[in-house]
Amino acid sequence: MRVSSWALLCGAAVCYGIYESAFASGAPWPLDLARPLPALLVMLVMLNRPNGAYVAAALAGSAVDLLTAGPGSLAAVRWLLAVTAVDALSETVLTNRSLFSAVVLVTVCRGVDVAAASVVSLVGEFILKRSGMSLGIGAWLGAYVFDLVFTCLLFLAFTVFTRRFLVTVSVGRPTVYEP
Amino acid sequence: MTRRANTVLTVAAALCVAVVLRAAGLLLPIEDFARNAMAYPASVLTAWSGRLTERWGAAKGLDQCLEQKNDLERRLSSLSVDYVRLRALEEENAVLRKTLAYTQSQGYDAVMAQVISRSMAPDRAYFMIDRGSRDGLEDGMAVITGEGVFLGKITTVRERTANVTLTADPTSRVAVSLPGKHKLMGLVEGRGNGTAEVTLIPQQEALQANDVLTTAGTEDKIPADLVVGLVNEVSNRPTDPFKSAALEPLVRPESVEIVSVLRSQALRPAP
Repeated sequence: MRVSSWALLCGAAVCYGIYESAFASGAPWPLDLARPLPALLVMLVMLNRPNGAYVAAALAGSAVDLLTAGPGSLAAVRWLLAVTAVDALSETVLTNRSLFSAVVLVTVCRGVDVAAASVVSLVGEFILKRSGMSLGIGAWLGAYVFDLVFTCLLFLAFTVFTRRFLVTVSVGRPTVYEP
Repeated sequence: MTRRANTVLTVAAALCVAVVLRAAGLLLPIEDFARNAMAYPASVLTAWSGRLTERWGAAKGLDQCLEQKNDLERRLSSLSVDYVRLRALEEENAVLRKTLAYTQSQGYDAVMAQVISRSMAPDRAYFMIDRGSRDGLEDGMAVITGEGVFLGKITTVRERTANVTLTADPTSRVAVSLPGKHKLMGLVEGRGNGTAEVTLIPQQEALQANDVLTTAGTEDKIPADLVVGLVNEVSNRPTDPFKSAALEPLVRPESVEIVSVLRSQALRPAP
């Protein structure tokens, strides 16, 4: 990636962090479900920019942690863990770049995020004896549905406008058997 | 070493370094600077989200609107009686003060602050504001709206920002009394989801629906007579030593953009 791309990515990640902590956390339903970071991280990994995904996750998470009022949710650590899982899966199991892969990867990304958030919540509540972060299952499910829709739209947009994920099949001259 | 292992190791090392620096307190100035740099866009976005919530909330069904209207009319008639009585008392008070040449000194001044972010979930209710220890803010100070309604207390203070725990937060406890009584009558405990309950009300206290509750003034750094909320329903079992009551807040935290922190005049920073 070029320096300008890195600068753009870093700026966008910080802006996303501000958006999530200042706008999405207090917005009315269904706008509060619009948290597209997992889909964007998955797309970065699928476009072979995993390092960009790590940097974006760290910066956006740090911005959220800095601006979240109340007990910290360790968003940076959660999202870095999610990107690590997505990166590992996309290199070992889901190596093809299909819509199916994108959906599975975004499911894994959100799943790791929820699991890490649950651990943070349990640690906060039972070990540090303070109120943990909220884990409304309805909110998570809503965010997951948004993830799926947004991932599909993003994948289709990339396919249509950049032809990145189109599978190329070489078509040669048909073999003709002459009697 | 593969590319992924390399990246994971780098990330893990960066996290370890960050944890050590954070624990040593070396990251605090950088955190404060970054928070301050993001404060302006965050406060703008928070204000937008508040306005959207307000507009969204206003779009209710006709039945709900009628029910709310009837409820508000009932309250208005009850409060009008109180208002007339208080107005008479206020005029009498002014005359008496004039007679005694009494100079009023509350000992508090208000520091205006902007809400940078909100954390409103079923089990938490926090604000982050753009004022901190360098403005003379301290833990436990009262935070009010422009109309003087009590919102919550400051619970975490940094150099340029502070966290406010609202009365609806499950960890919040505020001592309350009836207006003008200045006597501890009960404790407002947050119940989450924007609600609060007054507990530990002695049986002999006369409390009924639509009564206004104010701060008792028994807590350090919180002056008396700040309006906390309106009593919705009183639960009273004769066998229990205490009564409890559901408290309705007078302002919706989602719509608050600017707040005032009541700072003791003795803590005002030197110019």
